[in-house]
Parts: sequence; structure tokens; C-alpha cells
Amino acid sequence: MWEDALTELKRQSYSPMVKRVQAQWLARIYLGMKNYTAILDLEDQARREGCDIQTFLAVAHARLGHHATALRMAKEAVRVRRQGAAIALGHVYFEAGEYEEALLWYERGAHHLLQRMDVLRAMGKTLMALGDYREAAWAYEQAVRLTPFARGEDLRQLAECLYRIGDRRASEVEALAEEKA
Amino acid sequence: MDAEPKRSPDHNALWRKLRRRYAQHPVWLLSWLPSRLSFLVPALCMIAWMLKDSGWQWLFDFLRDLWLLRSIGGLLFGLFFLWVRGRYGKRLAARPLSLLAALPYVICGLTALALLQGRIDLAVYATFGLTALYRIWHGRQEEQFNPGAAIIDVALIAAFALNAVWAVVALLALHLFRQTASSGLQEEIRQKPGQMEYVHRAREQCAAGGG
Repeated sequence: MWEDALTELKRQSYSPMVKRVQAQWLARIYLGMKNYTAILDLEDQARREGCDIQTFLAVAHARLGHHATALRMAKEAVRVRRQGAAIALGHVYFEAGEYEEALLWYERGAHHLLQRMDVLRAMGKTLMALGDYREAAWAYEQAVRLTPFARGEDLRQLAECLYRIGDRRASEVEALAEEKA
Repeated sequence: MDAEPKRSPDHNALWRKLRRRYAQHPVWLLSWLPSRLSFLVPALCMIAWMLKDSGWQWLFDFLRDLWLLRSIGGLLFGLFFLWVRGRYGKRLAARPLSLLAALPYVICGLTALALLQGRIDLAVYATFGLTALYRIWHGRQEEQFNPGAAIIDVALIAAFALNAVWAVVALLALHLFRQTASSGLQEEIRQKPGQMEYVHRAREQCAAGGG
């Protein structure tokens, strides 16, 4: 799916409107593709085009293990109130293994309408890391309900949480995850 | 926003749980509230009318006016949608508007007309009867037909026609419970397309000029 998005973005790159935000969209796509070094390579292009990708850079640095840089960038993004900065800082703390802190920042960013599904997934993952499977199940269930299609990964995580809390729906959700994959 | 949040003792504290659940964008409330009110107002008005008790007259008048305002609002929105479609949506306007897409606005128009004439019974048939028809029709087209909901809808209309007040109350409560119950998770997942199917449909819609 991310490859499709990349192809479509490159196809439409002639448009000045797309060009203005291309670096941001590319960063989003590369994040989805887990191609973090490609995001770092976008820094110059983004600066030239006046496009802000600081939050994506912070997450990419965090996932590449550059925790100090990631933390500095994400905190700066929060300070200047960049869109999605709270969630990015949550990701940075998650990658550093500071789950309680990560959850606080996800909660702060959860009111963002377009990122609600991603935040719920991130909350679910963090709550699982904290061993709170009941709350994690709630977060994944909300993510499943909000997503317009059945996302296999969400269903598998939800099934795992439901197993852990002894919910009888676990096996059925797991079967659905297989079916929808 | 401060980059150093205040330390919270426990992620499981009640306020943290509430924040996770309800600290959402206000737009969420805008979509959540009307959907509940658009059901509750006609439902309560129907019950107040069926009770035929002068003590409930004030409530009936108030709810009827709210219902009328909501129906006129829906009709005006439908007319605005048609105007925008004809004025700006050249690709959309080239394709005929399906009756299914226009039905919610037709229902609002018929309901408003019935309420203006003081015919609560016709307004109930228009709102609940035609909406049930719309749900069944729409459900069959989208392959999301829900027989349980259809049975409740039909039973509700039958109970109203027979003037069985308590059956209507019970069926409306059941309807509301089904709307808010969280037990339908598996059913909801089943009705959703898989990721590949969703992408395939989106591609088809784009190719057809609707994307």
C-alpha cells in the first residue's frame, strides 16, 4: 500500500500544490515503509521547499536509535507547537522505553482528529508494554472501530490483549484477523 | 505546550482513563450528538404523543418543534447539497443522483410536511418507516444487511400502528441499546473490507471519477 502511495505521489509531483507538501507526504510514506534513513535524507529538500518535517525526523531518529537527537527535535517541535508534535514526542519516549512518559504524550495528542486512529494504536502498544492488557484492548478496539477497513495487525494485537484478559471474543477476533489478512 | 509534562502517578487513574476516552476533537461531538438526538427527539415525541396525557403536552409540543426544526434543517441541507452538486460538481452532476442517496432528504421533507400539518402518525411512518426501508436497502447494496436491526424496525412500526405504547418503549430502548452496545465488535469487523479489498475499491472509485 505504501508503495502505491509513493507511486501516486511521484505521479502527481508536477502540481505546485503537491510540490509544496511533497517532503511531508514522502516522510509520512517512508515512515510507513519503515525506511527511516530516507526520511533523514529528506531534511535538505524540506528546508529548500519550506516544508516542515521536524516531527517525522524526530521519529526517524528515535527509531534509528539516535535518542538524544530525537528527543531534542521532538521537544523543540512541542515547544513551537508543531502539528503532531505531542504524538512524535510520545513515539520518541516509546522508543527509549519510557512507556509512562510516552502514554502521557499520546494522551495529549489524542484530540487530533486525523491522527486519532494512529494514536489509539500507539496507546495500545504502549499499554501492552506496560502490561495493562485491559486498557490496551480498549485502545485497539477503538482503533479497529474507527479504521474504515479491517487491519490485520490491529486485530492480531486486539486478540492478544483479549486472550490475556480472558475475554471470550479472543479466538473469534483472531480468526477474523486471519480471514481479513 | 510545555515540553515537560507534570508527572502523573498512574496511567490507570480514573482521570487518565477518561482523558484517553473523551479528550477528543470537538468535531467528534458534532457528529456524535446529532446522531443521538436525531433518534431520541422523534422517539420521545412519539411516546409523548401516544400517551395522550395532558400532563405530557408541554413535552410533546417542545419535542415536536425540535423535530420539525431538525427535519427542516435536514431538508435545507439536502437542497444545499443538490445545489452544490449541480453548481460545482461537474463530474458528479453528469451522473444521475440515485434515489438511495436522496432518500434521507426526502424523508426529512416528508416529515416536516407531516409535522406542519399536525400529523404525528405520518411523521412517525416517514421517519421510522422510511428510515428502516433506507437502512435495509442501503445495507443490501453495501452487503451489510443486518436482519436484527431490520426486525426491530419493522416491529417498531407495527407496535406504533397497533398503538401498543409499552411495546414501542421497549423496542425504542432495544434500538438505542443496539446503537450504543459494544458487543457488536465481531459483527463490525466482519462487515469491514480487508485492507487489499479497501484499496481495490478506492482505486475503482478513483478510476470511475468519484475519488
